[in-house]
Amino acid sequence: MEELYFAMCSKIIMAYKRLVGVIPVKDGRVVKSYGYKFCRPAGDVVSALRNLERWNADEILLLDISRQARIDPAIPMLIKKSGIATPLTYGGGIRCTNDVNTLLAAGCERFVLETIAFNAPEKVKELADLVGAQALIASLPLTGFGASLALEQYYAKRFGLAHEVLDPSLICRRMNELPVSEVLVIAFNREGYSGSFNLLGNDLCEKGFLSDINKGIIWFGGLSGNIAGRLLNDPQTTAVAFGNSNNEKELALTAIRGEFSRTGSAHHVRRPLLR
Amino acid sequence: MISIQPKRECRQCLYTNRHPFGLHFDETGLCTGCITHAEKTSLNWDYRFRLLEKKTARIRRNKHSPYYDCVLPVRGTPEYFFVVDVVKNRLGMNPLIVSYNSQFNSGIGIKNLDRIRDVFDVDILIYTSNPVTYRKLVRESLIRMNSIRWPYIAGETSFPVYTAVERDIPMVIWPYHQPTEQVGMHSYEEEPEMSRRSRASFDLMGLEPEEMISSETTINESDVYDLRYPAHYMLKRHRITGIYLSNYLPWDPRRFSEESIERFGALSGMNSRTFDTYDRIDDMTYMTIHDLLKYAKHGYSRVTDNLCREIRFGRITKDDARDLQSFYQAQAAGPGLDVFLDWLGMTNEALDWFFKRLPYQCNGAIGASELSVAQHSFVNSFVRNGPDVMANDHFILYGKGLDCNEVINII
Repeated sequence: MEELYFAMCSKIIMAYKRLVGVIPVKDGRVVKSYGYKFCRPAGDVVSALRNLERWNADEILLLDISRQARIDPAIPMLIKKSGIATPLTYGGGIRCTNDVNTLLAAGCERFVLETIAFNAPEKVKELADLVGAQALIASLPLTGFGASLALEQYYAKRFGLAHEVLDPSLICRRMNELPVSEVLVIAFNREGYSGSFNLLGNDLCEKGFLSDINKGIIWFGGLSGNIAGRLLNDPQTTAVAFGNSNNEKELALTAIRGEFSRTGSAHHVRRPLLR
Repeated sequence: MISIQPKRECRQCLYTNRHPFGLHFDETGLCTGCITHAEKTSLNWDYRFRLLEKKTARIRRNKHSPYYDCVLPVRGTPEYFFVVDVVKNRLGMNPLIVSYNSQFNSGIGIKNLDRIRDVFDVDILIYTSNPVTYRKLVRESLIRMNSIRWPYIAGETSFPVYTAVERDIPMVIWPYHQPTEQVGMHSYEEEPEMSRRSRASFDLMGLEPEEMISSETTINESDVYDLRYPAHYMLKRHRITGIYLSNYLPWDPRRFSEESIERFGALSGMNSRTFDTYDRIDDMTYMTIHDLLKYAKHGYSRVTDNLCREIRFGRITKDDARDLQSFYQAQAAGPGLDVFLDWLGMTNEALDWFFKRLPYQCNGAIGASELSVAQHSFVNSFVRNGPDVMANDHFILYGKGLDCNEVINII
């Protein structure tokens, strides 16, 4: 009986898709990032984490965009200081099991992998052995839309790939082979510009090779409430993520939840009470 | 522990990446503050003001309060005459003016507040925290954050919002968003609004009132009760939003202050450690103990903020500004410092010890005789039509500008 109860509960919980609050961090401080090329200052990490917890975000994604091949030692300390209980995902500079252990001790539950997801899949397997595939997310920064979806040029160069536009089947195979539970698809050039998401064309249905990925997708970059609501109706979507807009208005995530009802996707997400 | 980056200065203004709010640069070396400032000349401000008119008209139509349309926080500086004029006369709103008592009021600040009430025929609600508790909080914030301003900022930013909640007034109108004006946190087109997070991170230096409560200190829950921010469910229930006028008007404190002096008879006065006779003249501690602490903590003082604004508006060159920065940052705090220390129960020796703990010590400055004619004429271009800020050196004033001695004489 008890097992049945827990099975039902987990089914109910799984039915919900997540609204993720993203905190881009550079040099130990929160920034408003625009296409990862230009940043504006946006305060300290602790208050940003606590704020998203107060807003009842389903999950918080702390994304260090400093482009350093290491974990900023200040970040785990700041996470501990914040004392938040909301599920916390961390991305940026993770290279080895030591990094993950440090972040686990600080209170992170899941990890976004980007560099090693492309150029060292064996390390991803090591991490999966340590924390399980359910705790790992692969990051996929893309530009263009539909059939012309391409890995962002910066990353293509960094990973030693000859052409800007990669073979979609290669990307798809890589994502499917990795022991990760979800893929964070980032509209790289549109990140920070609300309402400019362009990966799937205007009708949001030109998914191209992304439909062949057999993992759940977290969409991030240039989303608005309306676009995110429409993406939530896609069965492949497991979460939608918002970054800069969280700095601009009070209760921004709550307002976004409110907009989902217009797109008929409100039933996909929780409606938590405000404190 | 925050990662320390190599020091980098903006190619246009005097700010560096050591600014406590954080500062970023574009590929040409221009800081985010200057990039945002450039929007003051590039945006269509007539269109933006029409956006504001639409927004406030909607509030007036749907307001819940039978009388007031908005809460308008003010201070006793000339700039706020302009703010009230915009809200009351140009937008046609009926504001409830609120002011949180800093308890270190200058005579000039009190007179300006009174004048705002008389000129614009508005109601003013002034809140004064228990002075004993206030002193306790000033001591605590000095120890924990090397700042004496925390209690005032906490009260100044929570009192208007609580007033809006209690009186069911749907809008709070702030003049400007300091992180946007100084370091360009937002573009004006993003139309940032008041938020608890911005308050906690920038205004309160990352420390919310609840965190002040500690068994190691004498601060208890009742001491910070009136400094807390309303809960989110209260803001949502009353549909309260807080907007910044600077998103809809090209914000220029100097021009607005001079206009207020000319049109409404606002008072300006000489302040210590700066040339700006309009900025923070309502508070006798701002340019004394607070400014010294600011320099000792961050390596720059308020005059740098004033100069960066003037550089961005093209009213002074960077080279001239650097000389003035050096001249004013080395100035003494004036007589107000001793009065403040008496009030706080702190000796000069203790203050010296306190400053030695902080990273920046002021050394080397240029004298007044070394300033050029152009620099002197820039300084003299600021209007002075009132008494000096430190003309009244008593920190607690009773009633309208009556100081302790006057009250005793009356009794």
